Amino acid sequence: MKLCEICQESPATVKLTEIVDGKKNHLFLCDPCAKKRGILLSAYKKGELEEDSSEDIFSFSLEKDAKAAEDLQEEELVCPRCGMSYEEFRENSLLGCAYDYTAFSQLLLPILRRIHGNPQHVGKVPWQCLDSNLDKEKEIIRLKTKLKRAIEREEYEKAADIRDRIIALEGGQDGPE
Amino acid sequence: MDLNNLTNQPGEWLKGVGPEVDIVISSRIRLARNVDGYPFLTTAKEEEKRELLEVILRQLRKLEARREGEPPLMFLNLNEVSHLDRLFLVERHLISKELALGKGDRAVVLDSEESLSIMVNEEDHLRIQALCSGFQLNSLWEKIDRLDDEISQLLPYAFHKDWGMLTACPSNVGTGMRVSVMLHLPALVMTHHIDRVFQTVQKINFTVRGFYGEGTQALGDFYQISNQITLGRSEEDLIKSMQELIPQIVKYERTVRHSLLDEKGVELEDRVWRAYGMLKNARVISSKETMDLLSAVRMGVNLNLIDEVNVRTINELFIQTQPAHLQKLEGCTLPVDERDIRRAAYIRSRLN
Ligand SMILES: [Zn+2]
Ligand SMILES: [Zn+2]
Repeated sequence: MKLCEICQESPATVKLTEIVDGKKNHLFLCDPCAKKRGILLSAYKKGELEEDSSEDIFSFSLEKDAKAAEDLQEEELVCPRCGMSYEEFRENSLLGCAYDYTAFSQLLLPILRRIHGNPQHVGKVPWQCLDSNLDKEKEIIRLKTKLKRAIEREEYEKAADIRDRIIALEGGQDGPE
Repeated sequence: MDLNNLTNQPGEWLKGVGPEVDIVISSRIRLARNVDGYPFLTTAKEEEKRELLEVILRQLRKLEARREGEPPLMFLNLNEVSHLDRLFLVERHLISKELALGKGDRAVVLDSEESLSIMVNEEDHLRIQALCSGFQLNSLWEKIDRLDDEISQLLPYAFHKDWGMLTACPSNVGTGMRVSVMLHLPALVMTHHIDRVFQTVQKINFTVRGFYGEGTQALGDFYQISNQITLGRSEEDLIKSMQELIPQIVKYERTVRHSLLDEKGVELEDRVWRAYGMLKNARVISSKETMDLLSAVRMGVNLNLIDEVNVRTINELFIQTQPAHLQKLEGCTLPVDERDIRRAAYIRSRLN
């Protein structure tokens, strides 16, 4: 576990990136020391501030949820599919493959919560992934609205397309679970 | 379809038509998608990138057959496009700087109206983007939603029931959707009210950036406002909150413009005409100075303080005086100081 680079006492919970003459300087700090440096902890914990979005000479990102990460940190988490480690993700904040979301789920969940608030997807579901009947029902309702719009606009070919998809979905709805 | 044909037109998003277009320059929606079964580009090997590009382009070509009555598509392998042309596409907001300056197998699919662009092998396998002039998010969403449905039938997306569309960066996961609206806010900048707008916008989880995505000192008083949250809210919901926010900022800008007119009418008029005079007479001018002066003139035209020039010409100048555009108009690459001289000459030729 990393100690705060200022007081050398408390565990570091914040990675502060200072940009001086265009060069990045990383500092690992505890909350109280970060506060002393004038950083609005509450603001950036919500993920509101990004490197390019604020006027401050400071830019910062809270890299992880320290408590959740502590236990896992030692054993060096690596995705079995693409080989990316959680450390690498922390370095450049990009994941290596879709499976990383599952492999690093415990560590990612607090991050997703901080950035987005609610970590449960409620948006569009792609065509091939509609497996539960509830998903299908939702998609059928969505498609019916679209069908209506297509007909209103006299886009009959598109309407026929959408109708085929509704029929396909309705057909598969009561199949074996 | 040839890139050079685009040089003389302002691009769909600068056409200057559509609702609230005096203040809302353009609307844009982009969707981040990855193809199931392939690693993200962060870890993909060169052969995998090449295969991805091939598979994606082969499938996207099938779209063309379904686009009867819609503008034709252009497929550009960016390895075969010159550096200047790539920057030209960045200036037109058709590709990102990252894609332009990146390496390896990557491409963009565009339509001839420049209302659609699909970047392949950017940060995610696919970045689908729809653009239009003015404030029209509903029709834009309908269009990109339909296109996304079509693409998802050709290419299976990486998806998880809890986290939605899986993207390389967790800040895009879920809907993978970024809705952006570009605003022209000269009066709010002039009166420093813009800081209050920023604070409010950030508090409710939207971000503010400049004309080309730059940070604080936006060029020409243009600001892009986008949603920050992509997970836990539906696409329609995110669009709705944008539709609640933007009109309030538009109204704010209008109010300040009119109180400026009432209280400092002569000063405002002076500012507009001085800017116009500089543009008409300068012999050397940087692109930043050009943007700032054009911004003042644009507001002047919208407030009927000046009638010697129309908004369309001003909009065209915003884009045609950008470095890559200027060099394409001149037909050769030019060093910076030479560019500033040619830029001034070009503006004079358009305004005199
Ligand atoms: Zn400390
Ligand atoms: Zn992985």
